[in-house]
Amino acid sequence: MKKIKWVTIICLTWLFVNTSALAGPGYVSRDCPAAGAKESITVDWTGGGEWFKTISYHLRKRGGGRYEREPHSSGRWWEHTWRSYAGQVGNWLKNYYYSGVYGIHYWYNTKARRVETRRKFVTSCNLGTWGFNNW
Amino acid sequence: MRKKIMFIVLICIIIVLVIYFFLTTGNKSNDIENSSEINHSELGKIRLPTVESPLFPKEAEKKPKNTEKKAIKKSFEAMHEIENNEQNPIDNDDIPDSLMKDVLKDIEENSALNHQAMLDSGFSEEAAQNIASGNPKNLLSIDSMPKELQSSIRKELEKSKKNGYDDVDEKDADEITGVTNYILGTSVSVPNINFSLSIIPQLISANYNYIGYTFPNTYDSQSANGVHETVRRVFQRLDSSHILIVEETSLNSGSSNLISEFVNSQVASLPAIYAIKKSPTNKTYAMLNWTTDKFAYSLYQVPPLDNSKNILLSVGSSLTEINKVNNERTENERSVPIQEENEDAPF
Repeated sequence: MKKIKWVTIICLTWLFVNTSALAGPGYVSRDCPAAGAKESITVDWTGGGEWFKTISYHLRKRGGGRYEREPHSSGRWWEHTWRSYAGQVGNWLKNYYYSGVYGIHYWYNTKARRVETRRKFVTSCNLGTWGFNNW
Repeated sequence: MRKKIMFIVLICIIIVLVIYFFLTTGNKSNDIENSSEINHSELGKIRLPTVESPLFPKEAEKKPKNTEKKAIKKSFEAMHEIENNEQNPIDNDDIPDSLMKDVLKDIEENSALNHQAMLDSGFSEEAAQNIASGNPKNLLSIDSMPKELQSSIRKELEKSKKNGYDDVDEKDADEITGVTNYILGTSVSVPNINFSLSIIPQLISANYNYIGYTFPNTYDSQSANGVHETVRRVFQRLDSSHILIVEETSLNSGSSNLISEFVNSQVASLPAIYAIKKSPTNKTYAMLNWTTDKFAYSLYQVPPLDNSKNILLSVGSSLTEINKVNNERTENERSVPIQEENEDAPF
């Protein structure tokens, strides 16, 4: 029982330290059938929160070789949050194929008084970009 | 042996926690539940194939069998074709390269899509046009910003005017005033970036020593992983009087627009914001922000701040001018960031 307690403490400490090191804003879009995911995420890795808004367009097969864009949004409004999410994850029924995700990420940079916009089109799980303050 | 077991258990727990984090934090509000039946508004109940544990599918389940494929196809077709009142069959094959190319091109070049996204995000028509233009002279007024941001920005503006400086939190201030503690490398070339660095003008190279580079919010080599769009290059004045940080953010994947009400300076005819930043414990530095069509720049001067506005404006102008002139240089030439050119230092 003691060991479990220690293992848990070590794990939580490790996670906290690790997350603390990954500080600052980051953004990623993913087209990832393996995880049933088509999503765009904007994150403040400090956990403190920033003004974010995220929009994710997913291409959907509509038959006859046609595609249509399906819009997803992090919400109606901008949010002061540590994580702004638009899309779907764990939906293997709908997201079983690659078709492309177009993510649009907005961040109001309070320090520089700038509205920052990033736009990315991805056709992969994009795991190499996840978890970093890449902004 | 015990240690080994403990170590393995630890790794397992960490993996489980990370997977749990990713699985539980997604927004599934718009999703169709992963069940065998769904209620369609027009078709009533539609039976769907059950996909079990898809994150770790068994070898045989990695690729759906033909029958499953057909069932998925049929369900998908039923759900979407009738919604769109169309009879075209779904193409079950992989997307042809030629079509994919067209789709990519369409998406990437579709300015209407970006425009709509901006309107949907609360920007006014004028702001959406200014952002889309890519013109660094086009600013965003507070009134053209999304409503939920306006009051917060107005408060910041009032406070800034009243105090004569901007508040920053302790961590952010420490990152600038203590920048020499966060140097990640001293080489002239910077790894982990996906753009060509700006050319450093002679005004800097003749008056400062290059100390090294770092990334924002980066405290160790681990957090320096990944590909960065922002680099900070750190210089010390030859007489050691102050530190100068040249921060540049590549705009290859987007844009950056200043808020017009904060603009109080010009850098090479471009609007700029100069401000003194102060933390609760009085860590102070000067900051100058402006954007060009390729980069969003921030210059920082770490105390003493004597004449900091003139120094930063001079440095900013020479940085903008030399990079405007050299925009057409080849990648190889641009990868050499420090250029010796015959330019008189005004300070």
